[in-house]
Amino acid sequence: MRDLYIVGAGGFGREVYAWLQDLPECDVDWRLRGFLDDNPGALNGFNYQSQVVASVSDFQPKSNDLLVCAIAARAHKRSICEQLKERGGQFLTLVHPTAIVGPNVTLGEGAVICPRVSITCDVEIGAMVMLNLHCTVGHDVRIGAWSTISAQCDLTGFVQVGEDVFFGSGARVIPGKRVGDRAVVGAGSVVIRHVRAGQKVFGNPAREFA
Amino acid sequence: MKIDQLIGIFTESLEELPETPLDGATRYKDLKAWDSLAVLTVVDEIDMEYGVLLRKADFQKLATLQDLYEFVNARVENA
Repeated sequence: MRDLYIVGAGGFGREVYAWLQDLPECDVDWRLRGFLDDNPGALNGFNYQSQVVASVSDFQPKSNDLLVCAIAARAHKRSICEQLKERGGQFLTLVHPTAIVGPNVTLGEGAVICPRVSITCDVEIGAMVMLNLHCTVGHDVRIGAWSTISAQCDLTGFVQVGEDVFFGSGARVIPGKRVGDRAVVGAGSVVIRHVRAGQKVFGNPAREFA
Repeated sequence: MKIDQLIGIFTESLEELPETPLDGATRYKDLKAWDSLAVLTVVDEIDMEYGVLLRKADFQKLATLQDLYEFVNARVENA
């Protein structure tokens, strides 16, 4: 049995802790050993059996270890997980049993698919992508590596999302629109035109937001 | 605003472009792809870029891209 560590003991880390208990592989293929976080007191005041067992910088992954990414903040997610990958860290791809995943869907290594997410057909999801609760992903959608899609987002048919993109909760994109690398789409936005790389948009219809 | 900029907005906003390139004489309401989403996108782009909010009545009395261009410019100058 492998040892599993949750990377990040913040709010999303505690959510991922909950979703891991629902997986049939839990305590069969791997056993949860604890959280990795640079703040050793991140779980103080919370009631969890697992604790912060090491900081990210001190952790040396062994060949039997598995990691799961539970960092939603785009400022830290990539740099922290890349550090761990460089030291040989292997990431679990988490698909919650209540998620719907249709035919011809490819999921990159380390992707985290939360409960009640619906992914239709012919979809490509890059490595380390996070799809939070209740997102819907239409046919032929592509999502680039490292992107974070917050809860209740709606990516409709043929939408293309680049790498390192952040979607706030409840945003939606009409069919066929492209959202460039490193773009930020604010909560509740309705994207009706392409979003350029690095652009931050917000509102309905979504507009550039300084 | 230059008319090329207005043509650029239309080019970006239409789902499908006509065979003949857009110019000042184009009657935009006759375009196949001139639907409610195209209207919304064009209105929003012009509001964002030039601070002119077009109303339904404006679109109804105007016909060509040249008309629209002159209308927006007059509003920009009067602002």
